[in-house]
Amino acid sequence: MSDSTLLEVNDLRCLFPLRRGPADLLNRRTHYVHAVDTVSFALQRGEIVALVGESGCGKSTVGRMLVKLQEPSGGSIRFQGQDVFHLAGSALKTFRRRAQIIFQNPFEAFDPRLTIGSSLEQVLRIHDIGAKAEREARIIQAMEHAGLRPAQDFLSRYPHELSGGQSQRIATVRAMLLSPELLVADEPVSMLDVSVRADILNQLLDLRDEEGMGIVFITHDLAVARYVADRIFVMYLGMFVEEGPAEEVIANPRHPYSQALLSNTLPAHGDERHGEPMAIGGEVPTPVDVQPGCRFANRCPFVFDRCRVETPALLTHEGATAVACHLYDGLGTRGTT
Amino acid sequence: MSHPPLVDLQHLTITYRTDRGLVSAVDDVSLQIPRGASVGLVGESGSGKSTIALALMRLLPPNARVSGQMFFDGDDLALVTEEELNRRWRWRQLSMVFQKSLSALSPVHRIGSQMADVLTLHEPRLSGAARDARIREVLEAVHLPARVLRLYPFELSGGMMQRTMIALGLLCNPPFVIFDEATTALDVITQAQILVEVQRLKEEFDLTTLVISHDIGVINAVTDIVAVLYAGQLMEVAPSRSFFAAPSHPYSRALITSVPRLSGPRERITGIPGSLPDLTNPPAGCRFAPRCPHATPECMTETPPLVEIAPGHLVRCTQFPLRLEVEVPA
Repeated sequence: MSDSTLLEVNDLRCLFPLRRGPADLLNRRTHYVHAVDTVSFALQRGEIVALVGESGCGKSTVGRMLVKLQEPSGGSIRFQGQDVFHLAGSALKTFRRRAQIIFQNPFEAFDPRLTIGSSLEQVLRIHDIGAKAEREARIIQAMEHAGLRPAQDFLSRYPHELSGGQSQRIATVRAMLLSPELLVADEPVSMLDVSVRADILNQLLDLRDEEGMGIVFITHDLAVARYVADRIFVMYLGMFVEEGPAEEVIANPRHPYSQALLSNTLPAHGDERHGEPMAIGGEVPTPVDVQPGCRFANRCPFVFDRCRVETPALLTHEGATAVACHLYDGLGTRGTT
Repeated sequence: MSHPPLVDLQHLTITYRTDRGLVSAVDDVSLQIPRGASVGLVGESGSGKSTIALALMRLLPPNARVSGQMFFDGDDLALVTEEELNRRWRWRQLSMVFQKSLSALSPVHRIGSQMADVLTLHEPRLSGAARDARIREVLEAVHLPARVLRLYPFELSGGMMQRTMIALGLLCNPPFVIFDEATTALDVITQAQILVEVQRLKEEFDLTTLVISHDIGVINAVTDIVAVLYAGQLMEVAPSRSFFAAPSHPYSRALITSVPRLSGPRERITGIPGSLPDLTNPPAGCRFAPRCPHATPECMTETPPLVEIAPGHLVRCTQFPLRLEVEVPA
């Protein structure tokens, strides 16, 4: 592990128990939803990685585990060498200061009964930062730095008096007040109008470049992922199916699922055309009690026998991307991480 | 030879009476939807696009005041009585597919009985067997298995639910269907599948459609004509091909350039500074002027007319095309 490694995730798993009916109770059999299954990656300081996938692929569960809002069922998360899941007491409080998360719905991000000013101040008070006057000054500075001027105007308002874009910018400011080193941004722009998305995305790019923050950006939008991320991880049913430099994954997707996602994305620009959308059948199933084999096998147009019995590993074959697909076997593989 | 349009909105103006005063939601919108065409209405939240759809369906809340005309095949829908609406128009002439289909259906009735209800009410002369046959026909059209009929709405996936809503919309064989953010809540691949099907159904059932979306990608994929709405005003109306080749209103351009690209250079995108004007007190002139990088003092005081810059391509901007090529420094 180099000094610049902020986060190291190894074989992370999260299973949710599911009791289906009286028969299961009698058999004492518990079924499990495999929300996240053996996910590994590392995040460097000053890097943005995007977790991309459709609803139910487990991307938000990964995000929640990274900031210890969800217990994993297995594997490890090391934040600067410290095991996140054994943190307690003051070490946990320190971790909470250094790792922050922003959520998709800005309208639910603030206590509706507190003014924005008190919500923001609470963050600093909890972590015993500064005297009241200092805290105020720090909040005003952070707000104005994020282009929310005059800050005083916003601080006296209640959440319902703000637009979605304003709320989300303030939610980002709140996460930044503690100068965290890690930020998890879970679909931070998907509920916002396009004209205000750019501000939030640019704000994150600036945090990466100016503060050297490491950001895990969770999104279903490939164009947004390409815009903000240095690397992209494509997720399907709890697993990474492809990983690589953002530009490379978007320009030249290798996994059939990545290809399907990309070719079915509707371009907003008149000059963007990327061939026929790949037709794949069905919808994303729920991964209950999964068996060995590729999880995309039953929808994959290129499926062959081996796909149904052997889970493909995420391997680098050529270039910089890694792909978990038997189609690429025999192309000079080398393992990743 | 030109046919009269199927839907012809003339000076449609809609205001909502609220505690804060009159909200000017739709301002003098004139828009024609030719027979067989798919017209896309695009705009951000608060632009008035859903208000227009609800006005056409005559489903606006009681605090809405409507002026102007909404001609449908020659009849002004604004003048039709409630009884007539249910007997002749809704479902049979025009239907609507909503975004939140889960809340559009009754949670305690099976899909089959809800579909049968619509037919019993709007096609009372159909026999039971003919009703069942019709239901099966529309389910087949949207590629849904017949077992869906025995299910409750919560048992359906998002994609199946939207297909069910589309099947309902087609049930009484209307010539005109409004899709209001009908695929917005769906995943990328399901959305693409459903849009492909909508295109096929359009041919098969000879439909005219109004597609409402905030997603410029959806509009790009399925429409023949684009209408851009901002704060209740139509800013640009154009054949989709020319629109996407050369969006001409400053708002249209900003709307497209604020979406990151999937290919080409990874350039820094910029949003649109400012926010939607307060529609209880809208700007006197062009409603986009307060956020427009090209605005002049006169834009603030006078509403520019929609001017035809090419056949079928209308733009509401006094600055077109003179100053628009000059980029403003960031």
